[in-house]
Amino acid sequence: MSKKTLTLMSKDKQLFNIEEHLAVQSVTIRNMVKEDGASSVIPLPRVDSETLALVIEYLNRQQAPEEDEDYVKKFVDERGEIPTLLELAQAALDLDIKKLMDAACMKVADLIKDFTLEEVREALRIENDRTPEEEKAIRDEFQWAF
Amino acid sequence: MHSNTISEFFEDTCCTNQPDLNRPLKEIIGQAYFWLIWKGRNDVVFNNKSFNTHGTANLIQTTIFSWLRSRCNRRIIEYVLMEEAKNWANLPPDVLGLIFNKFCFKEKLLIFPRVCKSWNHAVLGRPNCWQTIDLLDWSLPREYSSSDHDIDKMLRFLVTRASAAFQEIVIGNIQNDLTFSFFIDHSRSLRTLEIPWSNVSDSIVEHVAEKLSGVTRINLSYCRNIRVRGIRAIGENCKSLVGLKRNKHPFDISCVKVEEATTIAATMPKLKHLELTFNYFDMENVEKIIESCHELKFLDIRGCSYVHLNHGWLQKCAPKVMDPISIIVTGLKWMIGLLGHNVGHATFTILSTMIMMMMMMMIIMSMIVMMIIMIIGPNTKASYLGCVWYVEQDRTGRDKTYCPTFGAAWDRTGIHCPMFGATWDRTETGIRWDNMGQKWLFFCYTKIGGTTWDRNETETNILLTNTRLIYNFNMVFVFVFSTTSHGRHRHR
Repeated sequence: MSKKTLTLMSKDKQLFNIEEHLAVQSVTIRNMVKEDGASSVIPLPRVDSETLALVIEYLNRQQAPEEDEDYVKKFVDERGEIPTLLELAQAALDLDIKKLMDAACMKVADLIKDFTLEEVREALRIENDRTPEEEKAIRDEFQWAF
Repeated sequence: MHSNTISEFFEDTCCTNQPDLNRPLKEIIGQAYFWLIWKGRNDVVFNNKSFNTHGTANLIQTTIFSWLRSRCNRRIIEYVLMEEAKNWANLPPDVLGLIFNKFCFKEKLLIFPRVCKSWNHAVLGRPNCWQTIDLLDWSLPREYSSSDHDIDKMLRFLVTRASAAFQEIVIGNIQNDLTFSFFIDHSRSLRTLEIPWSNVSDSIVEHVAEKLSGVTRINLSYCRNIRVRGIRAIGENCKSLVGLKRNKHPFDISCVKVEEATTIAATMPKLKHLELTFNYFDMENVEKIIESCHELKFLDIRGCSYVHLNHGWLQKCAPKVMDPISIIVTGLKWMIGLLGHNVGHATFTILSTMIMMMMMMMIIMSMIVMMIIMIIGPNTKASYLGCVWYVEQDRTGRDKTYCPTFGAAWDRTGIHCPMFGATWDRTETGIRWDNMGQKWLFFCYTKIGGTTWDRNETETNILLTNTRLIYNFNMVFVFVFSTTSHGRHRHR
């Protein structure tokens, strides 16, 4: 069987080639290949090119199943920044690569584990969208826990 | 032609005069849409897969795109999506759920839902985010003075939130039977039940035992009102029970029940993990348990005063047990014996000098023991007579070796000696209000028992200890300090 190559297109329209037998680790791609023969480009509308490059690096290097666990752990450890990891988790969700998603989420959780509320918001650049009254209502609800 | 969304694209193509494209386009979109929804539905019904809204929406989009592209033969279709502002508040719920489940309970409750509204919605609506209810930190009497009412209130709040999907419940100090039966009644899939320090009675345990049939791990440590009847009810109903913790308070002599051991041996043959510290069993009971529970991998009987250490028996049950430091133990025993006899009704000043001396000796002793532990290394997993130490993973996943007798803990980064206030979770030294005896006690005993459930033992591990040593050790301290505090009182 000749090795077929698929082309993936990121959000910013960069094209990436990957061999089919590696790409089908993603359930989404596997389904699409089954449906359509995937003659054309597979678009990944939510994944930017940097993250897609990472995903492809992950898919390419992953070959021996028994080393998977260690490998995926090392893979996410090397990318210890929260935004990168979240992008990666989101891409893995879109592509349905369970192991990568689990590992990325785990790493994020490890990183923000001991953070306070403000630190979490700061690390993820999330604005507080509650009014002080709503904040107080929540605090009252959990009064016993503080 | 550039269109930002499917609808815009639709309008664009419909408005232009391209009848050749118009009809097939609508057909393709409709077909792809319904076909994929149908396929998803079939997956759910026949293949037991879960339906992923996010993934399906994505799949629909991309499928429509590739169908159009392969059928239209024109390069007029471009896949363009609206640029979303990057904001992690809108993480997909699946990703959030995964991250959320890695947090400890306190953070789940106090930090995660408060970050922003969408995070709150994401985790509130998902029952599988609330599989564990761990209120131990809030419910133990010594941590802070929470009333029964508080515990009851928070438990009801959480049980409702978890919508009966919780599998693990850890709560201490349940003071009334109603609270207990409330959460048992509201659980559908309980696997782990931990209610240490509770005042739950035998009759309510017998009453709800039927509902506990799926439970595999139970922790009834320090529950003084649960006696043989409760244990029997659990043993007869929980057929898949593999772990039982029934540790007792070292000073709790109110329920001396040898029958418990017989009941455990008779009704719980599948046990793998059994903790029975500070119970009043004798050798016969222990042997019975070991004989009937064939799968037993971990047995903690430290503190059982009538389990005498007998080398032949040890060799039979746990061939790895060694005795390298008996000399030190004998030495310490001698010292304690000496002190214990001399105390009597001594005056405050003499006592305090002695305590100082004793502290000094303890420090020296623990240093010697730590040195020995360092030499032997924490790899030999065995119990020593008199000095028990065990390897355990703390919350950060680091291996930590505890030496409860002398209160020394060792981990890969160094040695912590809790006597100096470094690690307080196992060995306790301090003055504390004791619920049992209703008085202030000076604690220098080790809170032994309470090992983590999954220890992955490869061979049977039996932890036992020269109880008389620890007991004497504690008693001397308790005696000394209760005398001192009386003395102080008088001085005022």
